[in-house]
Order: sequence, then structure tokens, then C-alpha cells
Amino acid sequence: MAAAAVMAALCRRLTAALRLPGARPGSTAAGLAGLTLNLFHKNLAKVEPFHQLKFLHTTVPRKGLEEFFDDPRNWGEKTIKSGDAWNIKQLRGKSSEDLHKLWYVLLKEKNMLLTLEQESKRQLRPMPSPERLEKVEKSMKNVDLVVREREVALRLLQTGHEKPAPGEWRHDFLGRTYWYTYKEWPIPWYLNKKYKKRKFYYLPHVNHFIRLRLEKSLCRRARRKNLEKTRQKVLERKFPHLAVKSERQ
Amino acid sequence: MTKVDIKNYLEKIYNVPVAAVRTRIQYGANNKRNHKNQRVKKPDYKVAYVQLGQGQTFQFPNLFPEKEQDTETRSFDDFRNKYMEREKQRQKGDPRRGGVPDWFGL
Repeated sequence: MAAAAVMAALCRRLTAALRLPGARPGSTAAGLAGLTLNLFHKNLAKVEPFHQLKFLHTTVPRKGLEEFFDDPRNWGEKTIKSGDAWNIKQLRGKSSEDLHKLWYVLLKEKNMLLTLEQESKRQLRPMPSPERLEKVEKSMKNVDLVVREREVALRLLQTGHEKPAPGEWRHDFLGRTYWYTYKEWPIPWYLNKKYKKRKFYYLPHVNHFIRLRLEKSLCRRARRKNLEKTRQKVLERKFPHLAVKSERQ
Repeated sequence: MTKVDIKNYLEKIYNVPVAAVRTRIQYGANNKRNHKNQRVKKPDYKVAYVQLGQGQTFQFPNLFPEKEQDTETRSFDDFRNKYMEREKQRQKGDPRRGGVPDWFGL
């Protein structure tokens, strides 16, 4: 009963909040409820980023400007509980419509947190639980990654190419290798004066500097690894009872 | 984001009726100096003045109202006060000396 009430509240919040330009006119309450059930069923097991335990907002936000602010019961609190960020593995199982809706939900949550941050700066008060912002940013990045993956997969199936525009690996005059995407020009390259001035090759005297650059990157990598190792050793010496025993076996 | 962008954003995503939008770019000052005497710039930002449509009004809410303290915070405050009092008592010298510090002889 409580779960159904929560579901209904969340459905209403979604319908009010997500008036997308591409929304299907035939999406009835039942259809939307079905989709939202799909989206939030997982959330009740694995919490979404702004899952607040005291939250049961039954009224629809008045004309939308209230969505820039948190639930009024959370105003003035020192800490606000929130769930973990969305993992890529969890997002890969969602449909594209669900991801589209989740993106907008996350966007609104980010706007709300940013207004809260700005207001706390104005009032010279600490922002309650600022880690929510990082969680939302991480979730949005993961959603973007999943959508990109799907786009690349679709393009591979349809055309056989990974990238939308063709290109190739080229050298620059400093010996660095980079991916050059072909551009559209009205004239061929041998009539393009500015393009002919660009050098996509390097002279033999640059080899010395390529070697130095390689040495520098290798030194940096080795230094980082050694630092990690020494830090691990220090921690193990300080807290021997917390050492990971399974790796040693 | 341009004026048109802001209008569409608010109308489509937040369902807020917008009558007009005016924007300006606020210049961030470059007067502060760091420990190397280099000027540190505060970032520029765009300010948008949105006029709501359909005769709506909006009052910016108070996001930090005074709330009565929890039992935990109250007990922590009590503990902290008691500790401060104890420290002050310890630092005071002999009460028979009438507030005169121990530095002075006799």
C-alpha cells in the first residue's frame, strides 16, 4: 500500500516534470505508469541519487519553479540522506526511453543542488551534504557513456564504422601521433594554400625529442606506481589488521 | 545559453510560462592578488532576468529556516560547555589570591 502510494507520487512527479518535446501524445497514465514502474522498480531496490527517506511529496509542484528547491521538510537540515550514484552496469540494463527520462530527472536534481549551493554561499552557511552533486555528476556521465556506446554499436551494425566522420592517424611536426578527422572542403587539398603549409611529417632531428618525451612519460608512470606502493606499505604498517589477506594467498 | 534557449528550457523542462527574458554578462573582478602577487580573476557569469507569464508571482524561499536542535546536538553542546568551564576553572589560579597571577611573587 505504501509502495503503491510512493509509486503514484513518483509517477505524478514525472508526468509534471517531464514534458519533453518528443513525448508521445498517446502516452496514457497507464502507459507512463508502466514505464515508470520499469524505471523506479529498480530504484526501490537500488536507491536513486536523490532518494530521501522522509520524502513522500503527494502534491504536484506549483508551475515548476518549486522544482528548483528541495522538499520543504529538508530546508534547514544539516545533512540529507541520499543513495549511491548510478553505476554503468545498472544503466546498461535500462531501455533508451528510461535513460532519456533519467537524464532529465538528474538534470533537474543538479539544478536544485546548484541553487542550494549558491544560496548557501549567499547566506554564508554550509551546504547540507554536498556529496550529492558529485553523485549526480557521476550518474550523468555514466548515462552519457552508455548512450554513446549504444550509438557506436548501432553505427557499427548499420555502416561498419565506429566514428561518425572518417579519419586517420597522422603525425604532426613535433612527432606526436593524433587522430585527424577529414573535413569537408569546397576545393581539393592541392589547391588549398593554408592546408599545404601544415606539415604532417617530422624531420629526422625530432627523433631525439620523441625519445626524451617517451622517457618522461615512462618516468612519470613509474613514479606514480612507486608512490602508490609506498603509500600502501605505510597503510599496511599502520593498520596491519586491515591488510587484504586474500591477495597474498 | 541565449535568451531563446532559457525561455525554451524553462517552458519545456520546468513547465514555467515565460513572458520575457533579458540577459547580461557580469564581469568577474580581477583585483585580488595571490601570494605571488599575481592577479586572481573571479569568473564571469551570465545573469538572466526572467519575467513570468500568466500573472504569476514568485518569492525566493528561505532555505535555511531556524530549526529546533536535535537531542544529540543539544547533548553535544552541553558537553562542550561543561568542558570549556572545566578548562577555565583549571586555568584560574588560587582563589585566595583574588585573581592576581602566579607570576608575581608572594
